[in-house]
Amino acid sequence: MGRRASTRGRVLVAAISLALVAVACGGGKSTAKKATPDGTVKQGGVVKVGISGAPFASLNKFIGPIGIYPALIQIYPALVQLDPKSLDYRPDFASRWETSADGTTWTFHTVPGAKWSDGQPLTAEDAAFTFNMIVQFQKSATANYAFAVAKLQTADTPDPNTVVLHYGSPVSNVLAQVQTLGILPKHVWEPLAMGDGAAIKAFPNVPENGQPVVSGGPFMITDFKKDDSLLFLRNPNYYGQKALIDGFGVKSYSNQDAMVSALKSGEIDAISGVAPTAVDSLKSAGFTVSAIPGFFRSDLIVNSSQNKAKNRELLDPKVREALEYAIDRKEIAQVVSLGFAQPGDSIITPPSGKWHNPNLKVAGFDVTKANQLLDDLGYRRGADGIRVADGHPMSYEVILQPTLDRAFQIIQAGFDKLGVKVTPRALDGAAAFQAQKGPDNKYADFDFALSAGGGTPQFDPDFPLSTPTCRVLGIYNTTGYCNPEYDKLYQQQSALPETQRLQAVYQMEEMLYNARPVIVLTYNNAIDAWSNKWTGFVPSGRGLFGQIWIDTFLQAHQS
Amino acid sequence: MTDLLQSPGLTADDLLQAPPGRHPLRRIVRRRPSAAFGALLLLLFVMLAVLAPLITPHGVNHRVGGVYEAPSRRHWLGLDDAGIDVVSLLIEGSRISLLIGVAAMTVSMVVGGGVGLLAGYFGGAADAVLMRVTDYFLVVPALPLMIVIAAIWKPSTAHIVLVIGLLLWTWTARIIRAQVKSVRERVYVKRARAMGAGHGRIIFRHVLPQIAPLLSANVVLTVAYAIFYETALSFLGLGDPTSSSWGTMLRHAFERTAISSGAWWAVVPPGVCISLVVMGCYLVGQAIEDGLNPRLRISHLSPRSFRLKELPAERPGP
Amino acid sequence: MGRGSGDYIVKRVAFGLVTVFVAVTVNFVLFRALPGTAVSNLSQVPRASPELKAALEKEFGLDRPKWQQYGLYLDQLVHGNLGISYDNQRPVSENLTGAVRNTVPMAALGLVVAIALGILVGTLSAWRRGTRLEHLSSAITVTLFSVPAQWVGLILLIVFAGVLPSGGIRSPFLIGATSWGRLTDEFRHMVLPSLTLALTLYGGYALVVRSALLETLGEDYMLTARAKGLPPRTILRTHALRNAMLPTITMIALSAGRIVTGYILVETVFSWPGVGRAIYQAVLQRDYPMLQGAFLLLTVTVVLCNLAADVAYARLDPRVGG
Repeated sequence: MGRRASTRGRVLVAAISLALVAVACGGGKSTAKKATPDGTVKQGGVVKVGISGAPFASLNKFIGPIGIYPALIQIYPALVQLDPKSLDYRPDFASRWETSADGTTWTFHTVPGAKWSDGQPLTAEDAAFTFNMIVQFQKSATANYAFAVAKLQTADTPDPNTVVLHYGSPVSNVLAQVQTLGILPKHVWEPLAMGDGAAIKAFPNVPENGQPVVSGGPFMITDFKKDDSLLFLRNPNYYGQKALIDGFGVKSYSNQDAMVSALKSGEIDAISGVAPTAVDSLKSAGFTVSAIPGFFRSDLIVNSSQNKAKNRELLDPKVREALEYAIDRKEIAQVVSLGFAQPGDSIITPPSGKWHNPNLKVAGFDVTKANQLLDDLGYRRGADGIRVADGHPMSYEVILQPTLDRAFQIIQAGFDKLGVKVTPRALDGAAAFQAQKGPDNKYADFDFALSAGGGTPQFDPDFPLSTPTCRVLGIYNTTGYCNPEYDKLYQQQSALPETQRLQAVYQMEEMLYNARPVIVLTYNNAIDAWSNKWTGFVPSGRGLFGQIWIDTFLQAHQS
Repeated sequence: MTDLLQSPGLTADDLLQAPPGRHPLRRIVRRRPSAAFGALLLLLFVMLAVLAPLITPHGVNHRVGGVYEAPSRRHWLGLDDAGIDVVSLLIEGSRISLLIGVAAMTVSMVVGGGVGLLAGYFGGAADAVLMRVTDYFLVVPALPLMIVIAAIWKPSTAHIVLVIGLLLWTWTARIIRAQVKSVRERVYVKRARAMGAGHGRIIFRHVLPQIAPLLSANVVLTVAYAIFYETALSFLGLGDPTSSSWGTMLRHAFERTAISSGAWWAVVPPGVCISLVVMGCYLVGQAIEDGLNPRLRISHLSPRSFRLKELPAERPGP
Repeated sequence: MGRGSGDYIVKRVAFGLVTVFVAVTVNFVLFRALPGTAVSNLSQVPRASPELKAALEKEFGLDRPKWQQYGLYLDQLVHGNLGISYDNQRPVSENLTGAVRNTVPMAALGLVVAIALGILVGTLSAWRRGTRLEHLSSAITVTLFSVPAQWVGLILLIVFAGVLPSGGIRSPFLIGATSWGRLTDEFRHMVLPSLTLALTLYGGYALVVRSALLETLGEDYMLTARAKGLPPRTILRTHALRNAMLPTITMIALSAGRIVTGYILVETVFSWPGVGRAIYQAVLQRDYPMLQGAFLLLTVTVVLCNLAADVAYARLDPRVGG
């Protein structure tokens, strides 16, 4: 059922239907999923999950980019959550909401009588406090969440069960933003939000003296070992439907083989972020392997900056088109991902649902056509077989992150048939971005970069669409693409109601598709595997321990 | 591995007391089959490396089958994680790995030999300064520093060679310095100097030939050391991902779960090759060193017999 | 110990301090030369904004000139402050303490086993020189000595899959376990990494013990002792081993570099959250304060080991330092 409250009629419908749901579930129940069949489900137990890489350095949400968000989404309630089935936002801590006619005021009605894990009341006050704190310190301590409070001026609470968000101008993705804004316990954080906010970042936020991190979500973190492991136990005070398992533990492995071997030996129950090469042996060993479309891309970035100093023929859309035809995406998907990847087109990945523009088509592998295109441009082959463009050989450097050498080999072979020479320049992630943006963020030097970092951290398309904007040049714009027309569209879409926003998003996707600041090579699957002792996982396109929704472990239970 | 031998205290000082023998190399090979085995191993890999372009059955950049295809008649050691023939990679890898070993050794010999010669020959302030520098490099943990430098530079083979070479020279410098100091005081050198021979002439005509055997032991051990470090750096993802060294092969296997996939042929052969080359270098190097130290040839406590004993024959390793 | 050796020790301590200072400076310069700044790395995240970047730069003092940063760093260092890690914004000392606490028991266990094995095997092969036993043990020693540590680790991991934990420092899933249960769990996790370390390190020690012992056995006083009719075992215990121990202990003190190399690789294979992985992560994150802290720690450790070796030499061998 539609819960986007963009018009009054919808609000009314939503309010009524939600009230019905609330009554049916005995109040407070916010999840719209089917109830588990009675009697057949074995409750309890702790699921042991292994994840690869990404160690957790801190549990303070205002620190660093390292994958702590999947942990925090489990312990901090949000007003709304993304529903895995409808791929739409559903009530969570807010049981219903409405929007003012001008779209600048959003009123959320929160679940009454909720409690934090330490027994303190969990109310709309906590929500308002969290939002206001982030707004207040958005230029310093809470800057990493500034994106989620864009245009938010203040949050107030007319009563303890209502929080009202006042925006300066309409914002199209308020629900996506409030999903990201996990609500913090006011009684813990208020004393920290003083002065310049330095105490906010200094707060370790770890379980201490046997006391869990104060949690309001379905689970609470009872144990944290930096860069090693996390333990979640069911939060007895959770306001929503309680999980069937007693909890789950997450252990970080720096070695895929060790992780797979731990699963096989029964040391752990499930693993996330499995290498495609391990899938066959896991399947034959009788494990459930889930490979679903993921939010991850592999990209060939083409320098699109007008500052580009040499090899400026690469700025020509025709040249880019020719190069794209010479990339054998199927081969990349087959060799690099063993088929657990699909050739890609738009920068918005397919699991983003409606936001992925379905009208874009993957360019096929067609060397003849590619050669034709370059011939038409008059770039003839030199004596060494390498084409000459504007007096210099078409010989380029590809910045290469170490794990992408296999994809590079395939691209190199394709370009070779085109009379275009590419040489690798291997750099790690930090050095690669530095080399791409160059001195003074001019993006003058690089030709190509192969990147596996591309992907969507959230369901909402706002972030991937923001990557090629001028505003983030030198910050996370990896391509040097800066087009005022595109930027204008980006600004517009952030304020449009949903249906119109969708059109704008499609238009932006198409613009990028044609301009090719990134040639999307593949969409990579999220691969997870678990033992048959467990069932009921709802992995997201970012894996079992992902951050897209909170349902992953909610209905998991022993078989 | 030669950290132990690289230390300032023991081996270097002991070695310098050992007057170089007349034909140490020949004597060693005759008396120590383990050394002969080591030399044979090295010879084998050098031959593989030299002949690589001729004998590599398949290209090392071309897919010839499926990912981790099992060994077959056509592909004796199967295919790797990109469907590339493992035998071809091993042969090509011997070229790259030995090249890295030898090149890094050369760098470290030039730097270490230079520093050692200058410090030992001229003594005084030059000695003091150069030895302090050497001491600094001795206490700096090599691998972490290599990790940092490899991250600074783009990870090309040339840079890996430089990084390894520039951090391995300390031992060479110390040995050479000690040797040069002792040779310098010998009668014939003093006589040569008195007869007006220049520094260059003395160093190259009188000093270098005397320390050559010891240097040769150092050379082979340093090659082993360099290959070892290249493997470690590649394993940590800081090697040149596009070179086909044995270290890169291991990294690919490690990153792409060769073991869990049951593809032992992607893990075991490169490991065995690295071990064999390192072992070859070690056996040869050790034999030269032993041969230079006459005290090692005598045991007053031999369980077999109570007599002065010549260096006994040792059987080769497995 | 005469005045000469006292002066010698003072000199060595002074030199150690100079080395540490040089190391601090070199490290500072070196890490600033790394391409990719911590901030561009930290702010290259979904939620980044120009504000975040500016805020981070200000917070870490990266908006100041380099020499000022250096002065600040030295000043903080003198006051015992290693700075704040960019990565998780906790004090570097706190992060390092955690990592050291994880590494030390595992590395120490591996080292103790390596030393014990090394002395045993080394003594045996010198004592039983020329016998079949010696050939066998030499062959095994040289083989293990030649195998890369990460490779040994991978092989052990597969051989012991299911018998021993394949990674991590402890099971995070023990709920309500007794302290004894936790202890055995941590020990079980430690076995494979320690064993890997021991197997790859012991060869070096064995070879040193062997050649030190062989040298001692070649000394004339051995002949004298033998001539006096002392049984070989007694001579070995009372004379030979004792004399061979000095160079052996020195060697062990000086092998810190190899131990560090070993545990960086071992920690990667066994997902061990110790100093080695901390260094590696810090390089990838461009977390300079953490790198500086870790390098300082390693340098100081090695310098201290060297110093201990020097002091031992000066005490035991009057010829040194005269």
